[in-house]
Amino acid sequence: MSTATKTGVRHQYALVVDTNKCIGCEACSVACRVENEVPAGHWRSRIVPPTSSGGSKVPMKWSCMHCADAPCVQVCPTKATYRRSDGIVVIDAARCVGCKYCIVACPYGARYFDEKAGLPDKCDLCVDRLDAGLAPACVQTCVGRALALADLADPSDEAAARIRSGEAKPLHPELGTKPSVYYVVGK
Amino acid sequence: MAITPTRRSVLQIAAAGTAVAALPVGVRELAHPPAASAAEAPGTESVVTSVCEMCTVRCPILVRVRDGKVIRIEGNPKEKSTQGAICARGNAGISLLYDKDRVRTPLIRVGERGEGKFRKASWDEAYKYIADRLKAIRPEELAVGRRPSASDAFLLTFAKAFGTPNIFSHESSCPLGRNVAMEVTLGTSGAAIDYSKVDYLVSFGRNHMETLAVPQAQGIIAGLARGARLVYLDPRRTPTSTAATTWLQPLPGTDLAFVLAMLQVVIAEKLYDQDFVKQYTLGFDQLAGAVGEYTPEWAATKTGIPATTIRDVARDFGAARPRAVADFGWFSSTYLNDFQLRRAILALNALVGNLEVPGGIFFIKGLKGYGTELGDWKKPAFPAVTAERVDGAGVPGKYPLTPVKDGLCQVLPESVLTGKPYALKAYIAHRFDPLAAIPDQPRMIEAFKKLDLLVSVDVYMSDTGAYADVILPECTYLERTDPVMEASGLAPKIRLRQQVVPPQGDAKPSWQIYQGLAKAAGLGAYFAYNDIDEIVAAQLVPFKLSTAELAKAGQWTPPDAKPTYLRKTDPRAPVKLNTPSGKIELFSAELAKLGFDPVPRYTAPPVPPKGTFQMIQGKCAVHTNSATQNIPVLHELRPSNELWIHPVPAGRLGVKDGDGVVVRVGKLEQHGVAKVTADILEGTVFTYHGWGRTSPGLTRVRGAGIGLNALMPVITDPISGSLVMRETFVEVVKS
Ligand code: SF4
Ligand code: SF4
Ligand code: SF4
Ligand code: SF4
Repeated sequence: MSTATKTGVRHQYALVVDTNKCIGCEACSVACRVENEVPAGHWRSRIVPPTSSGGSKVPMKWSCMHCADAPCVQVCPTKATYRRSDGIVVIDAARCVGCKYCIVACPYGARYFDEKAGLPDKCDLCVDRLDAGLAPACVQTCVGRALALADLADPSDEAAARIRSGEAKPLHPELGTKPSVYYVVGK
Repeated sequence: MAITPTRRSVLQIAAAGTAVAALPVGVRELAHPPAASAAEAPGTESVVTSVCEMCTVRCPILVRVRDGKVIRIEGNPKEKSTQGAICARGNAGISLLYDKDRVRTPLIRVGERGEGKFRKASWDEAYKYIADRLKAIRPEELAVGRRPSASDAFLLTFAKAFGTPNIFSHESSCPLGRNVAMEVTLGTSGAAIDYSKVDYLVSFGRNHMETLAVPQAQGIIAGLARGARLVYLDPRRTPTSTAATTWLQPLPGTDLAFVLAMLQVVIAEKLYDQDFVKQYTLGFDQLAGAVGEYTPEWAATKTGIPATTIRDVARDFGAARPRAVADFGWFSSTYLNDFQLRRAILALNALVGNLEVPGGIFFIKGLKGYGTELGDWKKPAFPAVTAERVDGAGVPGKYPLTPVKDGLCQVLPESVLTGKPYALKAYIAHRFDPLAAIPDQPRMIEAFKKLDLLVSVDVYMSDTGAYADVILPECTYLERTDPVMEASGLAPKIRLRQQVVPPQGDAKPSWQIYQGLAKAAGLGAYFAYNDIDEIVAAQLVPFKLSTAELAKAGQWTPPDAKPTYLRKTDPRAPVKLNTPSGKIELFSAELAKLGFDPVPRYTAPPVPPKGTFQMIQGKCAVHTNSATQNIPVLHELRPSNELWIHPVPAGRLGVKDGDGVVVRVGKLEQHGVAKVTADILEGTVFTYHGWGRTSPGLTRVRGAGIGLNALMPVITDPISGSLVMRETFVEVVKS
């Protein structure tokens, strides 16, 4: 499900996280925080650290999954939260009434409430940067080169190939939300 | 489009004109950039090349500025070794820059030392205050201490002009032992590992993924991705153990046994490069004789690692030669056997002939070797120094091997409190916080109280700052231009840190601070420059390079200089080492003469007395030493440290995860919170370094966590002068 932009180039964005290369350094967390002027106390993206006692054995970058069947989109009474045709789930600040339904509905805990703005917020895949031809802040700064923006509409995109081949898999697919963030796990 | 964030128009400048290759923000372009929507009015965003200073690695950066404010820092993608990446700390530079806790004017103490009560002062008043007190002492009674940085030249010039030999760095609390071992063995500590091309890397507690030098971490990750192996020894689970292909948990302080056994196997099974050993090393027979008894079976009893594993690692290491490297590490203020551990590691590398080949160890190819050096500003000759150093660095019979540029920063209290060999009376600590970094904090405090003058030059009121008579606010790296710095590797390279925004408040750069102080102290002749631009221009004269040219890319390599491995094409190419023999000294006559083991032999670390734990500490990826814990964003990521303790001893002590604990050494104690985890060996406890801070000026982090330097005594390695910080044992009780 991709779309044509003004120039006719189609995009279907996804994020690939190669956990084999992620060292859990949180450079991505801080880059995101600064780039997106996220208020103190909140993060659009964090690293869930590995532990020996249950949980993940590798660090997991955790941010909005840009679900194709997104509960946050479904519950939004004003359609402020919607999915762009290129796959990015965004919030239209002008329509949002701050009801927080989306925060409760998101099974990935990806959203926070920006008290100052009176609005929910979350990863928007750095749409401004994408629209300006730049990689998302987290991808750009990634120390392990573990992150890649994939364009599933591009048959020659290497990151997209890792999704198509099944090498990169979504997290908790059983939730049925069809996430657009894919993880490569296991060497 | 529905989204209207404030940055939108700004970012679109980057795409205006559509030529992606010409993006002013040189970040990684997308493979297929979406077409820019109609260009909006250009904003005022500009991009300045500079160099990060959130740790000593100094990654090249691009700083984005809008309306006179820094809005973002990104890595400079032109640098191949970082590919535009910077770590969490690098990304957080802006959080330091605008932190309200920064000291913004000179401060003069009004309360008791340590109370942190100050009054604001003008720079002239502060200079005069310091100069007046300096006039009352003899030159050698002044000591200066600093963390080495690109603006070192100004403090060092001041100290030399004043005429003191007592110049210290923080190195004796960090890499000094390793540096001295490299100097003895290789003739220089200016050598590095070609990480990305290594096939088999053995790391003895060098926790690359968490101590985090971006270029090194990236090199190792790239190596692992193409199938290289990483064997990592650490009693604790770390991000590096997660990344490693093999993680081994030796008993703390026994790494030397592991290395000696590797040497034994490599020699006994003739896995070494015999031609290399013959041509480039000295003392193979003595080494072979010394390690003969150190079998893997023997090492197993010391390390707790099975003999078969040790043998396998040694064989794999030998088989991977010459692209096998044993990491000589960095932080080496560990055990009394650390110096010989580094020597043994260097010997292991020599045996596999990895010197100056791709995937091995290489000497830094600096500007000096290239025949041209950076210029300097003109200054008169320094006065002759007749007084001896208080620490015996470089002095026969004391610490002859310790470089005098570093010295032993731990001796200050000894000098001040005992008057031996004479009492230091004044101390200038430049972005160096001895109270947070050096063991035996109580004695350091006692010494600080006795000084006639204590000056802290820093961005914050550090723990040391709270005891100072005067705090001089230095500006951050984003607010100043530094002298051109060398960043050479396989080829020579220079980098420029340039001022991006005006200083906050009344903060000043080093080049101004020490010039002002020198003028007040009658030493102005040594600082006869107008500004930093003049110095940078003078430095570049030998290269016929303008500041503007250097500033454009942020870094520069002489055009005809290529990455060079001296033995790449000819494995017999001459390599002249700067050792007495001109060879890699497996046997060191110099050490023998000083009464130390000339070839590495085993000495066991002390065993924790019953009821105590081995205490180790380390760094986390989001903080640098004790410098960053109070920076808002980084503080939020990791606001405190915890005491890692294994479930078995924790159960015995009745300590549950999250419980309060007291960590005790004799009468000294620190309070913290337990993290009960199987990620650490049973007899060992761990905590991250940099907490337990006391300064009222560090409003966020003050009082949080455990500070081990408050508990440890000063133990000094007699060979290198390095501190020994892991031979202290702690009691843990539930609080
Ligand atoms: S992760 Fe949560 S916020 Fe993001 S699209 Fe899915 S449901 Fe919505
Ligand atoms: S894509 Fe942008 S908003 Fe999303 S996590 Fe990365 S940096 Fe944050
Ligand atoms: S920056 Fe990259 S390597 Fe570091 S935690 Fe984020 S995803 Fe992992
Ligand atoms: S490693 Fe991180 S903190 Fe150190 S210089 Fe590089 S980006 Fe800055």
